[in-house]
Amino acid sequence: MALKSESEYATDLDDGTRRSLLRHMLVARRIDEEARRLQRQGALDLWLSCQGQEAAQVGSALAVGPASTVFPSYREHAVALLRGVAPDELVAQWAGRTFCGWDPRRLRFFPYTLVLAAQTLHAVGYSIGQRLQGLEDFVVVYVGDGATSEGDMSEAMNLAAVESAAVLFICQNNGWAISKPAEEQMRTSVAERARGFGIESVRIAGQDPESVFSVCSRATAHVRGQRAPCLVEIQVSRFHGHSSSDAQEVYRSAEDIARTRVADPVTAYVARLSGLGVVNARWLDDVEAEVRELRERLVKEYA
Amino acid sequence: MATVRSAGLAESINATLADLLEQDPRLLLLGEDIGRLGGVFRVTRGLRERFGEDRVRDSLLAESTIIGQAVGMAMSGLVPVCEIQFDAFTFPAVNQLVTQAARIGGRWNGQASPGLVVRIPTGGGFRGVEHHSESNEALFARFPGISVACPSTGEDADQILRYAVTLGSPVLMYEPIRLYWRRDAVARDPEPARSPTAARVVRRGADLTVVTYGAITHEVLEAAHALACDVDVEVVDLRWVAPIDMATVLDSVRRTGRLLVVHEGSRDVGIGAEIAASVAEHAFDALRGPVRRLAPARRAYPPADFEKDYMVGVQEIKDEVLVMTK
Amino acid sequence: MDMHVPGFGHGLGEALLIEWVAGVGDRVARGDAVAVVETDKASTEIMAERDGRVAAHCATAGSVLKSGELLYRLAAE
Repeated sequence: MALKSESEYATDLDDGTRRSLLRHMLVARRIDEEARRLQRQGALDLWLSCQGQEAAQVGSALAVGPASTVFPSYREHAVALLRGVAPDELVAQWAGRTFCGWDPRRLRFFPYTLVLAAQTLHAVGYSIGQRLQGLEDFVVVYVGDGATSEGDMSEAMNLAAVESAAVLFICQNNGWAISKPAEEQMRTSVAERARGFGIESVRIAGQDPESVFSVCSRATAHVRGQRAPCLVEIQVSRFHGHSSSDAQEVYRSAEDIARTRVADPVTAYVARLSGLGVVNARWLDDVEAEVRELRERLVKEYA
Repeated sequence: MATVRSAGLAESINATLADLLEQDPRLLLLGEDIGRLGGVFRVTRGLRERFGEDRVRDSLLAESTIIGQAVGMAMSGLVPVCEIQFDAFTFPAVNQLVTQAARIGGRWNGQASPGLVVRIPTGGGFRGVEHHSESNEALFARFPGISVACPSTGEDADQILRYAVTLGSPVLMYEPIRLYWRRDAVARDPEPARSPTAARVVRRGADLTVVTYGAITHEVLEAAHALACDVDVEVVDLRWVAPIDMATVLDSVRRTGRLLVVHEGSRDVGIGAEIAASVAEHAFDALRGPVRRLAPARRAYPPADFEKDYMVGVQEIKDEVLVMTK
Repeated sequence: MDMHVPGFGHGLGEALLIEWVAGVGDRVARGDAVAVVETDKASTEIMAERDGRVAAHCATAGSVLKSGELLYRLAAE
């Protein structure tokens, strides 16, 4: 399979999958909003918002399937929630209670790794280890654009290529390594760099969860079918600062931030599915009611 | 002086690794040139032929890759025994060792206990080029979650390795290069160690305790035997510098009343400082004189022509013991 | 003149003499193989350090050579 452009991928998903995508995006958005509030009131020490990246995270996480093992970075809250991490388990480490609030083994969603790109080598090693034992070896590893400057990322791509490891690299490129813009971080795309290591890759926009889902489904089939790694670079928008301690207004123009928020993948997908009649007001109310309950539990436990 | 013939350290470790590979299918070896070549020191000679390239894996020439993938393999339930080619080449892997391997168990709330062993050829005295003769064990002894072993014999290396692969957390084992093929050694007291992590009293004495570890244990024993008519020196081979078996050290110092610490790694903020502090805290009353340290000054390991000036030799150990007991 | 067993590097202090390549009476040039030895690491050759004629062997095949020991005698031509 040649992963070339996203136009090849007809987004002809069934309505059940579409509703599932939207539901997970809404849950992630609301939990993230609540976590930001909890941080502002001092209940969490730090929060790294994933707002703006929900389509990329939910589309990819749903595509790779429940049998895969996921090595996240530290901002994959939508992936975490989709994998079954409860909201209170998700925020526990940001409240200083633990280094990981969930059961990594049961959920096959491993702990967040805060030293950039260190988890990329773990992911490749884990896949090789599983293969050597005749066990499920399909592994998904998430990194941000900033982390791709770390040597471990290059080492992991090379190792995955030479070992033909069943690893899907997903790079969410939100355009910023904290305050360093992407154009000052690299001269080629991450996808192009992957090809230099002999890894098939594709670069796509991350606003539409359906195209992300389709591309990542193909990439998953490629990794499983070819027994070879693959990299998907997803262009996303970062609504808020790198973390709750960051002040992106210092280095980012107000117009740029406003532009980013206008292109909100969550509201855009709500509008789209509503327009198509895939969801209606009652369905949306039900989701919001479900999320409200989750948020109330979160507030009760942490606020 | 009674000397004994024994297998070289390289040969002993090779036999232990072969036995472990035989016994435990989860075990695999990973390192630069360890398969086809058998390692630059041939410690893994013949193992790839015997156990196959899946289990005796020639790694990429990238130390972070070695340790980083070993962490992942350990998470999958395997027990990787890695080899770093020379001590100073551990540095590119320090991030993976310290921020990752050492912390996985805690980060997973004990749900993962990755067994991971890293074998590191160490020490000088063989005219190595830059970076090939260092002793950096004290650096890693500072990091919680990492155990650090420094055997001075093949027998100890065997016991340490067998224990390390069962521990479920990373163990660094420092293997003195100059012992790899040394076959004669000063005879030791046959007293067995109390446990795999305990220090070993390798010579019983009454006048002064020398605490040491690694290759220089041989020079300490040589000095002790040479002085036998004048001073009765007790020698404690720590075998592990993290954790340190302070109970054995304190017991010895309480009997002899004098303590000299000798090591090959540089002196400042070293293992000797830790031992001296612990003895001052817990056995001050037993001391008949100041605790002393004998170790190289804090400077880079020099070019080979100057290594004799850098390293601590038998004569310096004898001189120090005599000064302390005069 | 006396020719000695060289150092073998990496702390290797001895080697097993496998065979003499240059027999007594043979002419050797600097760099020619004089003997084959086996260290703990590998099989290697001991080279003539200068031109001359091998006057005597001072060790027999199968014996263990230690660095610095007398190995053979070389007569200048």
